[in-house]
Amino acid sequence: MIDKRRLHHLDLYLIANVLAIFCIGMFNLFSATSSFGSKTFLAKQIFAFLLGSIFVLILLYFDYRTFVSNSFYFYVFGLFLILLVFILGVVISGAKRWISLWGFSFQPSEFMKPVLVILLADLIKENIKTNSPLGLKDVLKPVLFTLFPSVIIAKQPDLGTACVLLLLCLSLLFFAGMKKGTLVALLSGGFLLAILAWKYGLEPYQKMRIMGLVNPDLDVTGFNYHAKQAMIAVGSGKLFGKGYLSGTQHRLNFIPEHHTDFIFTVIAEEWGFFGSIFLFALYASLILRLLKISKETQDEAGSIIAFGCASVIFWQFVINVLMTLRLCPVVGIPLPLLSYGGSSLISTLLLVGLALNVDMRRYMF
Amino acid sequence: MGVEEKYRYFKRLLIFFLAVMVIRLWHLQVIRGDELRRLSEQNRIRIQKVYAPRGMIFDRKGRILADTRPSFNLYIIREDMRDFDETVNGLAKILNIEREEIVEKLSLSRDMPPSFPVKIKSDLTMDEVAKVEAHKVYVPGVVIQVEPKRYYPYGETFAHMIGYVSEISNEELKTHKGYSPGDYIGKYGLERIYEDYLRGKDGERRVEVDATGREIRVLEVNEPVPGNNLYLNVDLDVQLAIDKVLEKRRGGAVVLDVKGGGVIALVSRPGFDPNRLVSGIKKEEWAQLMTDKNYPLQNRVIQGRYPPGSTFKLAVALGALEFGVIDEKTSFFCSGGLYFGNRFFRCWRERGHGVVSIHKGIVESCDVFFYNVGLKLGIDRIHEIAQTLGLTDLTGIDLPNEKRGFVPSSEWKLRTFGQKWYEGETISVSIGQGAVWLTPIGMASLASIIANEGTMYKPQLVNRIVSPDGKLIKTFVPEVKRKVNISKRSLEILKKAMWGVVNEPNGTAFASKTQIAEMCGKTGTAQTTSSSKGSKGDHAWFVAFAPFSDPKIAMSVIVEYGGHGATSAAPIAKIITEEYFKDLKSVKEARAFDR
Repeated sequence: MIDKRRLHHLDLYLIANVLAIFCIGMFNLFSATSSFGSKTFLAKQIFAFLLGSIFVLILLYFDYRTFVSNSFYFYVFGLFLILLVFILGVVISGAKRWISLWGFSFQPSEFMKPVLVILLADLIKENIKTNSPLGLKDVLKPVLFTLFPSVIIAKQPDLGTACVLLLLCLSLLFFAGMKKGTLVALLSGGFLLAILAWKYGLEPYQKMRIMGLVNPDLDVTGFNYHAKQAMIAVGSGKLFGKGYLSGTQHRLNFIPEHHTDFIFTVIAEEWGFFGSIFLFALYASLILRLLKISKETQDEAGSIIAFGCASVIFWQFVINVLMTLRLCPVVGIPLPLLSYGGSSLISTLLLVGLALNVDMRRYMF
Repeated sequence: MGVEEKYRYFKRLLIFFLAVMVIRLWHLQVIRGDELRRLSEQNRIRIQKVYAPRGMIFDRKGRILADTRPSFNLYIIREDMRDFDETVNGLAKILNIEREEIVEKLSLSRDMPPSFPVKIKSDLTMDEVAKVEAHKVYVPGVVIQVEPKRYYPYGETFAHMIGYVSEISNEELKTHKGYSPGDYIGKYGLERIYEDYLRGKDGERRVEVDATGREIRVLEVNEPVPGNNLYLNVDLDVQLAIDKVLEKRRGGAVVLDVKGGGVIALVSRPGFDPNRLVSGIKKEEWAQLMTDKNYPLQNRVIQGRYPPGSTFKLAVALGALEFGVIDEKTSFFCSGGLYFGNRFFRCWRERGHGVVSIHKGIVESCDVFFYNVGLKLGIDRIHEIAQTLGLTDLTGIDLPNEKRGFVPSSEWKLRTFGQKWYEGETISVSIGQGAVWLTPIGMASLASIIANEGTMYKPQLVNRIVSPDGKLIKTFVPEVKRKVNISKRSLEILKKAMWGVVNEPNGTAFASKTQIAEMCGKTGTAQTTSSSKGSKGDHAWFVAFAPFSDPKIAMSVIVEYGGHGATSAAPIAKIITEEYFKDLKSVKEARAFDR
């Protein structure tokens, strides 16, 4: 099914962009984990990258439309995995998000991201084809299909991934176009959901994180202390940074999770303002490239998939950096390609792989 | 809305967020960059205090009276706590103390930076140290440090002389510069008076730490400088000898060097264990000490004011001789009492002393003789001679809170009560009763003035201050407060009479005669409140010097409710004299020391 002609259409620019971010990520991870005195982080990350690349190659072999038409089975399998977490889950730092298999632990919620992209593409592609704005009835299915895994994932608790899924759904609905009334209904529904979550769903520590954003002096020894330390790390980088391997804030463990969710502090501390801007540029370029694929693809499902990939990476990038900069509450969202974590890396690679797949086959009509 | 437009919207959203991020980055890294860089430096560099060992205190022969020893102290560094309750509750459980105790200590230091180690408990036992170390991971922020700590090997014996140190209080922090919470400060006795010399200069360690407060490496060490050592005029043997006899009683004794004012011994009983106060005692325990009916916190030698009883006759006799009211030969007849006005003033010996001159008056302590002398002298001249002899002054001993003695005058009575002085009152005062209140240190000073024939020295505990590397910082040369203007003749009469008190068979303290040195003295039995009110008895006094020719030491002894001076106080003076002169070698040593 795969021939040379299609390989010619492989978007090398996109691949280079991803590799650039990943390489920076590896150097950065080396610095971030150097104080741990263990090289397994790097090894595991490289292993995950190789595994993800193999998955991508396999994924490229099949036409993405095969995935779209079978998206429901993927979805059911994904749901099965996240439910399995509740039974077989491993608890790491207070959350049950991981399944341990043959010595590797992986996070099923991460794989819900690409799965939901193809499912939603399947659900709304017809509307785009007919160019008819979504009514309340059309919206119901995508929203419910998104809400269901989101709530489960939020209960693990993994609020970050749940948020990303909801934002993905919202972005794609926006992309498909909605009637005004639907939009209003959706927004008010979201608002209601937020209130309900605050009242019944959120743990006290989660509320504390949100409150801490408003009042930075609250609970200075606990969680917000670390958020404050992250801010100090970023600021202390100044214009040019402290230099590679010289970030004292993370090397002395003032920032928890500085190799995962707070990875950006390491960049900002060691490379300063200009280094951070350079990284932003790479992410912007990656997102714009994905949008370009979406735009140039004639097939509606492909277009939606590429747009979905762009929005998943976009929201993760934006929320992660904003929370590091103390502009939004801290939720566990990794920075794609930079944060340590195999599942997140593979999930991102799969998203990129989907976009590549779409791009490869964009002239196949 | 066309598809094109949606891409545009999305790109705008991307640009918007990128702009927010860049502006925020600019704000943090450029505008607040310097401030946050400084904060990050502070984060990793922590300045630790290294406590300087306090100077030691030695007796005149170089024996240690106050020492330092290592002690394990427990601190909490608030910055390193993960969770307040986790650490506080965990620690309370490990040490088996109240949670509130820890919270209170923490709140005392709330104005200090979060990296300041707050002392929670000092002087942990090895058991407690082991327990804390074993559970360290569960109580983040808790550190144990080995630090020098004051130790008093003789405990209560020197409580009222050396005093004690303990943690600085909130009030003291406000008035004393250069101290921080948890520092030790001299609270009492020599520790307080010589605080500035004894206290060393604390050192500093600049260490790089990680977020849990673990030391990564030491950047710089500023070694502490130990405090200066004090060498006292005090003789440990004499002090111990006195302490042994006074241990179960209430009272005090002080021994002075007649030729220079050095304090050879100073004991006040009951005392307290200064070592317990160093470790910090509980509030209830402190309250108990404060309200104890036996006043263990009072230094009786310098703060106790007692009616001097017959020991006051020394002053009255000197006054009478100096003012020419009597001479050596003047005599009165004692029939066992004296009628004055419509009152009968008894002599202590009911059958009377017969014909009494000044020598016999002192040796046998005849009250009637002194009633007559007192009446001739008048209260104001008694007051004047007391002033001349320094009895109403502070002696100026190097201890805190010395109290002044009191001898009344007619002017005083008029001023305070608006009444004129009655001669009947003079009769009481002339035998040391009534409104006469004197301190043992004042009486010892009087004995010293008689012994050295007119020189009033400032009593001095500390002989010299020596730096830890052996350099002499300060020597306290004998300080003459003043030359007392009293004729040699009068003093000789008195000295002879005091010799007689101990060495003549009819002397009141003949029972305390000793072969080792010719002790001279005067007994005193001071009536406390009127006997009808069930008083616990009289205060026993003895004021003395020794030996008779070329005197070396002067002393005063008081035993509260001890009964007769002759039976309770004089024997103690005998022990002191025998201890001090137990071999002539010690005399020579004392001389070598004084040089």
